[in-house]
Amino acid sequence: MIGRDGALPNWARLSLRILLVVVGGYMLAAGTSGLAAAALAQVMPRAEATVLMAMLAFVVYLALLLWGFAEQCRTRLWAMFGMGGLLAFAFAKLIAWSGGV
Amino acid sequence: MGQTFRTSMTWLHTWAGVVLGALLFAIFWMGTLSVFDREIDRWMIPETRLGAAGMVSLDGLATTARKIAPDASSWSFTLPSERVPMARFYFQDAAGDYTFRDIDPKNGTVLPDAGTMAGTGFIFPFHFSLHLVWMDLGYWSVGLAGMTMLVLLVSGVVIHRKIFDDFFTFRWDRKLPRSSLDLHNLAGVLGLPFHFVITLSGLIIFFAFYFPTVVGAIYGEDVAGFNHDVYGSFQREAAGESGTLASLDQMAAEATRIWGGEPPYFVRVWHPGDANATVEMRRTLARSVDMNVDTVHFDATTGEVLQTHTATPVVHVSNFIAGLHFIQFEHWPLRWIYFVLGLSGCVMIATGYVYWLETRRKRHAAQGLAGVRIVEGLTIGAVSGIVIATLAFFVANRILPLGASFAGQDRAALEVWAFYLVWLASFAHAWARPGNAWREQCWAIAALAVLAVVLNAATTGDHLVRALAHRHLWAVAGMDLLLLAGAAIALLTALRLARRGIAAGPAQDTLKAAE
Repeated sequence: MIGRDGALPNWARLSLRILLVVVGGYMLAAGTSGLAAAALAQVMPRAEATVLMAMLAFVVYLALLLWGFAEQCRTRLWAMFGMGGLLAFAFAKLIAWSGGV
Repeated sequence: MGQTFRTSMTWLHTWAGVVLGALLFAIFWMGTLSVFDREIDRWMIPETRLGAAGMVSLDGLATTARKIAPDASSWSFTLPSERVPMARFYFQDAAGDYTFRDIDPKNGTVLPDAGTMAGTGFIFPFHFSLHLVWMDLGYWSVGLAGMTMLVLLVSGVVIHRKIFDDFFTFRWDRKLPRSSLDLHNLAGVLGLPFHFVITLSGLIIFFAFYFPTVVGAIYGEDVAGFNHDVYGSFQREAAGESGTLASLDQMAAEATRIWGGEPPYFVRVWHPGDANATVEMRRTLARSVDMNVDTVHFDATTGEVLQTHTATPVVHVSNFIAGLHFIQFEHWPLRWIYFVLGLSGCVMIATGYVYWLETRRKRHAAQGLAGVRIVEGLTIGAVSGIVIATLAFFVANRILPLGASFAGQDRAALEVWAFYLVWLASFAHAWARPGNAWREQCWAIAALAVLAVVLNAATTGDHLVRALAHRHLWAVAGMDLLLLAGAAIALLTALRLARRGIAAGPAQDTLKAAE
């Protein structure tokens, strides 16, 4: 079975989408929440910022999952969940490895 | 996926549900049972069916601890409560493994080894870890299932055209696809606030596990710093010289005074016998929804207060969310409502499957597709199968004598084997006999549930009449009554399925079968 663009069969495109949205979405949610927590820690107690963003991360992830499965534009999908996810996650990890804020 | 948001959500709802519904059912089922995990413990560990404890002497518990584990690096005690009549003493044994002994608080007698994981050791941890330890696979699977549940709830609302009407619609007399969809909607819409809150709160409990990046972005590798700021943990190195232990009862009285009359539920002695020993007391969870992290740390030698901790505002919110999920507060009507709403989640998942199957059965048969056949076996094994497996776990508990072992497995492990083997067999049965599996598994549920009640009476003497007559046996009576109610529902369902002679029946009825 050949997909609309003739490049990949449907099952492969679907698997790729699921992987991208579930894993990329997780990295984007974890990364942006981590960065937001680091920023918030400048203006509120560190424990408060951590717990606040760690809780909100689930809501962010939920929104990303829903969006990721509804998004029609594949460029936007790859930019957000692929590039965005990698960047945000790597950046947050970098802060963690340097000992946090 | 589709061209519009709604068609995308329909696609997502259908397939996420079919693929992960079985796992979700297992999590919901075990979570629903966990509402009564302590009561299941009483039923499965007859040695702990003790009368009311009255006043507990902490110094007495410390004396017992000194006899059992004089060299342990810490002693922890959970104190008797409304639902747990005995004290539990946790320590690290000589081999370095964490273990516990139950102590009758009335006289300090150490109770015999329970020989079972029971409700708090098997059913409750299954709910959030699936007992899959390797690479934390269980936690991640439950996390994925939890996020999927949230996705299913939101997409389920989006694809509704008449959400208000669905509050009041259950056409039980229509054909199966229609009636199962009505019931799916009814359970889903009425239970929606509960299902959403219980799922999100269940995930949030594990925020530090699921989003370590967020903790890391602030604390780096400093886990101790995080635990100190959030939970008020307190550590003092051992001195290496021997010291004495002041009265724990007096420290408990001081902690109770600090907490405005609320007593501790948990006491830990760090480095017992050392000159630098400290005592940690945690405030009871019985009287408010939030899982407070209020602690007082004492110097063990002098009884002087070293540190008091209470949650900061956001942590307080997260404790409230955790408390909504854990229901450690004392409130019987609410506990029953949680149980019923948990079952409504099970009904929602099962009827979702039945609807999927019945709307595709003819088409798949005509086109020679295997989808319905595969998913039907999955559904039956996941729904009635796990109920049967749970009952097998209970029955094995009452058949195996204390100290039993087979093929190198002790009694506790054998009960767990019974659970998994019976569960596997139920899947095999469902795939082997698709036309009859629902009915036959309903029979099995009815038979096993009655057998469990009979075995409890025969092996412990606490039959239903006796259990109802004694307040401290109400947990046992409740369990027996739910088993009998489940048996009755399973029996009615089996009879109805037999009369209709149809392949798939109102699966939802079987769910209520048995605690």
